[in-house]
Amino acid sequence: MNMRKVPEHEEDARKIQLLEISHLKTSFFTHLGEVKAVDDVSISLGESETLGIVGESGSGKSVTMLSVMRLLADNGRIVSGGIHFRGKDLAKLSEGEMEHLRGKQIGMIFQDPMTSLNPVFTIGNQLTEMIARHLGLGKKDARDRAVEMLSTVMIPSPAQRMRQFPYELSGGMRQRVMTAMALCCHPDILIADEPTTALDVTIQAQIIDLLKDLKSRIGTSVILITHDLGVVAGLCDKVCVMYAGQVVESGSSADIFYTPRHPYTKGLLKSVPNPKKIMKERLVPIRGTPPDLLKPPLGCAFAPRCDHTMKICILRRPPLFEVGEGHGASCFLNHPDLPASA
Amino acid sequence: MCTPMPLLDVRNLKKYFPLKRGLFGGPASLVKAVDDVSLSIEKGETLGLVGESGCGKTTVGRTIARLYDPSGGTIRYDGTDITHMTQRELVPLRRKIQMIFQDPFSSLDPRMTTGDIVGEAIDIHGLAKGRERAERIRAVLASVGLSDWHANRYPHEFSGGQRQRIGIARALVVEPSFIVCDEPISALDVSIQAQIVNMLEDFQEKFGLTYLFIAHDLSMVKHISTRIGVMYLGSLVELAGSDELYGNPLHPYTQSLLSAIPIPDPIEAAASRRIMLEGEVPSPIDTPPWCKFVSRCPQARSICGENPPEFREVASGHFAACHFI
Repeated sequence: MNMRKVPEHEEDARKIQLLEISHLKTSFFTHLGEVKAVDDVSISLGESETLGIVGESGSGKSVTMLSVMRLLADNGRIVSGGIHFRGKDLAKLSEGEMEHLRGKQIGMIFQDPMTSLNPVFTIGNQLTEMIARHLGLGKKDARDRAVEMLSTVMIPSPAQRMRQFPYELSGGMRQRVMTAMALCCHPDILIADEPTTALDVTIQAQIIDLLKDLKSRIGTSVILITHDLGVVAGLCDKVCVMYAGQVVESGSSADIFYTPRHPYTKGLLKSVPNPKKIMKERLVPIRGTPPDLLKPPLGCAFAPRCDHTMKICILRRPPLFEVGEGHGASCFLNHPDLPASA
Repeated sequence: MCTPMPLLDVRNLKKYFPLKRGLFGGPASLVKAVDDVSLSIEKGETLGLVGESGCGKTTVGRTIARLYDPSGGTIRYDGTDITHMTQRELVPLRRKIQMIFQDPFSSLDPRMTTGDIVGEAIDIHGLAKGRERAERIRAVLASVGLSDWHANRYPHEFSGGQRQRIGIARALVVEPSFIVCDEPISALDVSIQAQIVNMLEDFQEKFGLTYLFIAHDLSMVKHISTRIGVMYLGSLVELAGSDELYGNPLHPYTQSLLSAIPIPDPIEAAASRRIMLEGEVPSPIDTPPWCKFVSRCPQARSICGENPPEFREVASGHFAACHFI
């Protein structure tokens, strides 16, 4: 995942990534004005990688992925930037081609398993419809495949579950059904948008283990959107930290957790207690609140909450500085001309 | 823990909710939301209450605050039995026991300004009038980090974290000594959670407050609590000091619950081993008279399906309900 700003001509020379989001800007046009929900985001994902996108609500993590899927609300629009899937520009696809790609090549599971399933159809109905449509299988084959998928996501007695309606299942079971649905066409990428947020911790652990297991068995690339650093630490190879519609830091899991270089990432890590620590330390919160994206600050979006704000931070937006192999942080503290300190 | 009288003493608390009778008038089923819970909270401490959704932790909090009438058992606050007090008798008590709610969006009246929301509590208890009232509102808002002009704003103009501050201000303005915090941070973003937790800790130190802290985020609960109780299907299964509970969990449910906490550290996360529980929490309707955890317990034996385990002290200050401890 190379996040460094790359001039256009270099882009062709690089290896074609599975998914390449470059300089994406997505805005929502409201009666109050333009909300720049995603503001110049570049992310890339390789084969069988697990990428975690971490950020608070409103940081643009979901909107970035909804832009990829072209599932934005009516008032949302991709303003500029490119999204390439195996080198193919998704922005240029017709709605029909996009429909073919969704589900078949890129699957998505959503935060709320209660509202993402259709309440008036059985689980089996919903699964077979999707399989028949994308894989062109007959009714019986599609059914067999659906049952097989339900057992892949470790749902006990799958044949019975096929006849049940979503309300008859618990939250964890529904999330498994969603996962089965997203995986039934063997997509290259599985986008999981806060898949465990609505679930209890023991069920969350089951779903995380399921994702881990599926990753190693099927080899799907996974993009996991979450606000929970604990979930990321257990599952992801790479991590992208988003704040106010921008990527503020990206790198390997180890980079982000052990050598964070952006004050926001450092702040996030300090504000969650580690349950393994015996000594009680006072939490270090990040003061203030995230900026209003209707009126984003001129310079660094994090400057008003940062303890290290310099004059330049208020005037100019920091580019992504490369601080290590595949590790970038958009903070002027990482400017190569700055004398090395902490 | 051997002081003569705890601030709050709850004995065999029960709260049952009846379900509608069947078409042919069969016997009504009961949801035993809280079934025989005993606990005590010392002055100045924080008792954490954890468990999965539907385990009854919120019902315990609300019954203790007497927002629900208990179906059985006793609640003694500061030596007084408050179990069967009438609403009128409860008014002075409400000044002592306050509550902070989970959802900062629905727990504030959208048609009232912040000043009115906080002021209403002052009026109900007749604490101050006129200039003194305004001064009190200003002071309490300042103490939760809000400015003067915030008093004229409506809840929708605030962010989630700020709304939770308003909820805390409303609880604090009547100078309570005991606050039931019902998942006060679970609706907030990570960077804001720490602000609120630190604030609650500061107030505890400053005013000697006692908290019942209900949450499902096990890391935060460990951070804030002196002692922690673990609930499963309406009953306490284990209760111990927070370091003791996390370091030496005895009940199989606690063990698996703690092993499921995601650890924000890739190396530790890779090294940790999870004790996976099979299936899900069973229905709380008409729970069996034996151990409620038997259907998911990895260590269950025949006795577990015959007798209910007693909730007893297995080590000093460490309580658990399991036949094999």
